[in-house]
Amino acid sequence: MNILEAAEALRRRRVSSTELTTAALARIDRLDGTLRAFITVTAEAALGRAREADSELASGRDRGPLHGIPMAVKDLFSTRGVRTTSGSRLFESYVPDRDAAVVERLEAAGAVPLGKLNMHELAYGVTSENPHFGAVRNPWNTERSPGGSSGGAGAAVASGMVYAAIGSDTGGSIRVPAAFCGTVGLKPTYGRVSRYGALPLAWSLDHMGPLTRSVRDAGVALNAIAGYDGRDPASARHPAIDYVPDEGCSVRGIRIGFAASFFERLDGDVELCVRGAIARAASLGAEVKPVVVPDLAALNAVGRVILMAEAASVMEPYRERRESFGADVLALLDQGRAIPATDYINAQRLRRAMRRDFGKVWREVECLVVPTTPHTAPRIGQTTVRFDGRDEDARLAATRLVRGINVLGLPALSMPCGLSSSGLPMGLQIIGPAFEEALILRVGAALEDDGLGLPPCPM
Amino acid sequence: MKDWKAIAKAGVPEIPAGEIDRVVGPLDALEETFRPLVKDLPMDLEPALALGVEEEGQ
Repeated sequence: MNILEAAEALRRRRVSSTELTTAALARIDRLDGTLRAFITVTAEAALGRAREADSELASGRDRGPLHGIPMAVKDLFSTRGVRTTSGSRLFESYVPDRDAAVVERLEAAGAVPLGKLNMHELAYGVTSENPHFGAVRNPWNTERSPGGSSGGAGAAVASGMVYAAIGSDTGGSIRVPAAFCGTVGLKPTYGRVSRYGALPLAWSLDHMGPLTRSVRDAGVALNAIAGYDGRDPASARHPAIDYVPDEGCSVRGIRIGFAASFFERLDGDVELCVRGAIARAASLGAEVKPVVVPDLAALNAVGRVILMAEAASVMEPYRERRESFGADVLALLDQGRAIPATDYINAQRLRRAMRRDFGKVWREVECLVVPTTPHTAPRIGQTTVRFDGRDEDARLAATRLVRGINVLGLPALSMPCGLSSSGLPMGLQIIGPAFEEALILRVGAALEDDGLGLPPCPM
Repeated sequence: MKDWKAIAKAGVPEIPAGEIDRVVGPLDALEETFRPLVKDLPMDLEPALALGVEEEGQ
């Protein structure tokens, strides 16, 4: 059952929020010893909130489709009175006195928060092998990585512990776990969702967004969390709209581009699957055409310089506490500290030029359909992946097709597009112009309605 | 090309000697892609840094 189905069942009194929440907590209790998706479970508070939701719905107060729905947030979103670790030993005892903006908005929408989700330490990595709170495991194969940094979110949604989760994405951290775990993941336009109350990783690259079981559910979640917030200096005043695609929506006439540079050094199954999805879009009436996009390797290099410099700046107050960091995060912070100011500024200059160049793509097409990751979930602990007889760093490979979109600040949706021959999910990425979330969700929903997706997760 | 080992040693003295190669290896690799990009940047290309001066009421 997805959010929209559960919402309908709640309104028809076929089920109560208390029953949904009790079932979700039982599932967490049964599976989380293996998956390690949660850092903190707030069972008692969740049941209290569920009873309130039932009472409100019974009295005719309806807050919308998230009302009474069990959800969870990545443990970098501040939650008043609930420990917020950011997956770090530095913050293992930190209890905020206020809620992050997305937590406030989910509460206003009536969602039932089940707790705080495990993640890569400080959101600085894509494995979610957290040295302090345990390695998150992939529900499709527990020997495999869920991706990261929102790995707990991916695992919790895929395994049916929650109906939706909110994650953050600085270089692919929503879309990579979505692809590896077989969920939908939406990175909205930069500034579309407030970052207030979320631990920063890199201010100019951080995006907040949902992971869900269906494309329309991602629209439902975005409806709840999108909008201007004066407490976030990057928050956009662009008006928020209804992002949920209509039933029976179509891709007919939509100009979809595919860029060859996104199809280099791919796992064969992934390439076949994504090309099949593009052919499916064409068969549904989309106008599919090849396009040339600016150099992905250059975009990624610019993104890494900005990320490393900004993350090192964020963590400067903790520079003396080297023993508190995992080895991989510490190495990245050290690299960031070594980057000269001129390189950071030049990266931001290149970013402006790249945004301008990439903007030309939207004169030819309305969105791009490309793979999310070049491969399926690697084994936990795997450090390299092999393409065309050449080893590639697993962290760089997993982010190779997503990181550049953070540099550009564009919205991007990852959705499941099939299982590999080894039974692992593969993800398709739909990228659109700034603030065109409704368009990319519509393309995704039309493909989903036509049958693109996955069989149920075995866990 | 930059000597990242020297830069890291000077700028981040707390890196233990045994870890320096692990830290600078990725910077060397990144340098190969990044350095050619900045070689010919026009002077009037400003950084994409955002400062919301109006929003701060100044």
